[in-house]
Amino acid sequence: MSFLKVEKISHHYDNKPVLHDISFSLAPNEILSILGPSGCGKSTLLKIITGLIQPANGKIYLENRDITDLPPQKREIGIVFQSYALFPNLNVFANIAFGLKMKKFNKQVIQERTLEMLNLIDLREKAYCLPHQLSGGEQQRVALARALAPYPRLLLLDEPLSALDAKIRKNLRLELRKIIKAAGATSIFVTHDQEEAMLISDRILVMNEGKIEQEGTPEEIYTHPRNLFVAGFIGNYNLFSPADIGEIGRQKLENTFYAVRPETINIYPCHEGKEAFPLHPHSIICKGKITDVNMSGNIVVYSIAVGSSLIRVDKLNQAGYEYLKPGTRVIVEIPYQALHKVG
Amino acid sequence: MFKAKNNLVIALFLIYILLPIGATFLYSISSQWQNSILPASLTLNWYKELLGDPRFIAALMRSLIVGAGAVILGLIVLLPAVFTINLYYPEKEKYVSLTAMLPFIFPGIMLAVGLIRLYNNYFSFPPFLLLLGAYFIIIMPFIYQGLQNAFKSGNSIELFYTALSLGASPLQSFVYVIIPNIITSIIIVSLLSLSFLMGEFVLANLLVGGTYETVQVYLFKSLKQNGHLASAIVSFYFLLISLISILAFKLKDYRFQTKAETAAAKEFNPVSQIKIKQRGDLLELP
Amino acid sequence: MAVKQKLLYSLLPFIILVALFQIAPLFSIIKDSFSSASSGGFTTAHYEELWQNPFYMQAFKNSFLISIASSLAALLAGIIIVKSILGFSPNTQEKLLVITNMVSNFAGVPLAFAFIILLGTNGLFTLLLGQLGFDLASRFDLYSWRGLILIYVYFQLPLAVLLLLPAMANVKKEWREAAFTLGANPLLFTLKIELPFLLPSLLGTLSLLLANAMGAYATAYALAGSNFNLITIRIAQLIAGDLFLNPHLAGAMTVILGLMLIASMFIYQKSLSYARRNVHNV
Repeated sequence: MSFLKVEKISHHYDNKPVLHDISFSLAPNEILSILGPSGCGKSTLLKIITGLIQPANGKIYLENRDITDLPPQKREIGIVFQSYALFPNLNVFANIAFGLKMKKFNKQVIQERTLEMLNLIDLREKAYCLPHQLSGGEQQRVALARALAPYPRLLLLDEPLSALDAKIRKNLRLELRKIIKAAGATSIFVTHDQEEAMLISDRILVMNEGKIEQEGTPEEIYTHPRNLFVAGFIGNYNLFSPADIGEIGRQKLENTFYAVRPETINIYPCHEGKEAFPLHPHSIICKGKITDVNMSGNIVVYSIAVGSSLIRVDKLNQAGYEYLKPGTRVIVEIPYQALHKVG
Repeated sequence: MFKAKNNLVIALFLIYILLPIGATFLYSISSQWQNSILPASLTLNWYKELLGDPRFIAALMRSLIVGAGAVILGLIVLLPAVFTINLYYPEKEKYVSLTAMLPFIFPGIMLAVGLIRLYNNYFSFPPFLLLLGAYFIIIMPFIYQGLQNAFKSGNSIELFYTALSLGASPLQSFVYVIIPNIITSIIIVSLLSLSFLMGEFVLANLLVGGTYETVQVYLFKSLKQNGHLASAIVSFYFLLISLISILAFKLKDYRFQTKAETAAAKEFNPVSQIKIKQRGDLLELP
Repeated sequence: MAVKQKLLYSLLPFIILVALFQIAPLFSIIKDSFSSASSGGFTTAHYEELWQNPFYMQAFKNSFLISIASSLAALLAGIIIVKSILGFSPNTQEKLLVITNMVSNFAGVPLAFAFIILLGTNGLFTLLLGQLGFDLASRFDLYSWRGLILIYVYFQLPLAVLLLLPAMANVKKEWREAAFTLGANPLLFTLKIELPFLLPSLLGTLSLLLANAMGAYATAYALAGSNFNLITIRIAQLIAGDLFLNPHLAGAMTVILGLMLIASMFIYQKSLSYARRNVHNV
């Protein structure tokens, strides 16, 4: 049995289609990410689920009840916007209590639940502050607590981390997942940041141009991108056209695109020499030259020119790792196992 | 060198725009001033006489009543319109905006011609209501633009959606969330519109004239009678509209200090953190 | 969906009031201007009468000339003043802005009166100069066109400053510095960068000032009754004067005035959107 069921949703603005036959479902307590570039229709989908927009076609069921025609205030779906949209005239406490007040809980319950939420986000001491007195990260947590307070049946998060600066964003990602899981809320998390989606969600839906490109766990999406778009959007895949493969591997594989994750490729320094390597049963082996080396935190990123293609190779920057210099000639080993057919 | 030039330009500018006002004020506090460089003696008698004149007080009240009435009418009519357009029909905003801006194109004299023909010649219309309607029209561009800007910059749409998602009805969301969020802008635009209407003469004179004498019409009539008295009216009027616009400017950067904010200032110290835990019953909803 | 449709009714008061007090009057003016006074049938006679009557043609010419003169003067002075204002600290800028804003409300009857107090036959300035042995009255008459232009400039100037300030504040200091490091001199910078960048804003301001002056009525009327032959004064006299009322002729004049104002507002709007696009691209 699924908790939320979205069935064949289509929508258009002024005859321009923005969503095409979107269907998916959500299990209780699951966190689902909708991942896609801006303009892929994910925000429209979110508004349709909240009831702010009526879809042209399709149905939405929440706990087996058709809510497609229900107005937003009757759906009990909490929402956190990118701008947080905290009510500027109300303090933190009143912001969090707003939904409970609207649902006419008695005063005692409102007090207790709001305090519980303040504890959950660890902002008890800011209860009387107004939103403009809080930092971005604090505002974000208050927005989350406010959405969770009135026991929503579903929680929607629209790019909730995008307005924060990089460092706070990184810290808040896991915090966000922890809070949502602690509150036991079934959630949909909309983002354009694949790293964020991977860390926060149980399942990911990759969207592009109003269609679902792939659906799966973070691991599935990461290791087995189904098509060119997903491979291009997720991680830093090396994408090889049939011609590239012919050039690098000196042999014809299937006439399709292949994606290779940068950390699955091995490189070894070698000396000048024109001799070609024998074909290998398990790997493609070829020669290349390092054109660029970049340190990116815990990994070293090499750009390697092989024929006319540029290949990205990531190596873990462990203690004592001696990295290679630009201009070094290397042997590149791509295991056949690492080649994923896409497109 | 540049600094000196800037100072000189601004000094000349200020002299040019403040001199007529200053001269009027000086004239209003001089008892007699003819054929001499400086007034014979200073006095506040003209103001006393003015404020003791029931006709002036009545005219002032009429101006305030019709002005405030038009502002309130403008808010009552335009707030829901701006709200509906922004939230539900954003694609039609340009048409509504064009309509609301029409009076900005056509000055009072044009409006007067049409209104006189329509409502004095063809139908008869109570003078007060006629002036009220005309005043509503001429301040419509200010109010519309002010509300529209407040709506756009205050993130009102997402606030409204959030309130809905928390179970508030559209009306509740409007009253509890949208209005408090744009109240400062509403007050500012109301004050500026009121001070604009206090200076309106064309419509007041041509449409209703003597039957509903506003302060501008009263001033126009006293010009020919007593210069000192007229200058007292002008000074008084200028003081009034200046106070209104200074107030509006001050409000611009002002956040309404709510009870919550005062409480926050008091409660925000490490000791009170423990207190909050213990005194859950003190947490009051505003 | 139902809520959405219900909310459409909230536009109803707006539509009704605009229809009653804005659209209907405009239509009645147009209808008057094309209908015969005696039979009520369609006619263009009123427009022909305007065309053939030198007195009314003079009114158009006067209105146009005083608008152009006062607008150009206010624009030029405004540019110099705004340049100086921008040289001050933001705090001082704000104060100057408040004063300018206050004075921009000082127009119409009170303004005319203030000038009479200052420069009229018995005005303070006139008396002061008289005491110093200078006969101002023989050289300057407040009730003449020159006097009227002086007053028009007075109420146009604050408006020009308020309109120019945001536009000219967009000329970034960095551009000047960048231009100078690339070898431009101040004059070249003004001619090649500043002026082309500001041109739409200047044109927009000018057209708004023109419209403002064309539609002005109270100042001239308060200064000299119906003596100045301006369009607005003629219109008011034809619709609400003591002598010869002719609403049809007033209608025709109003329509022409309206068309002129629409034209200048159109230029204003176009320049504004052009200026905005300019800023966005930077």
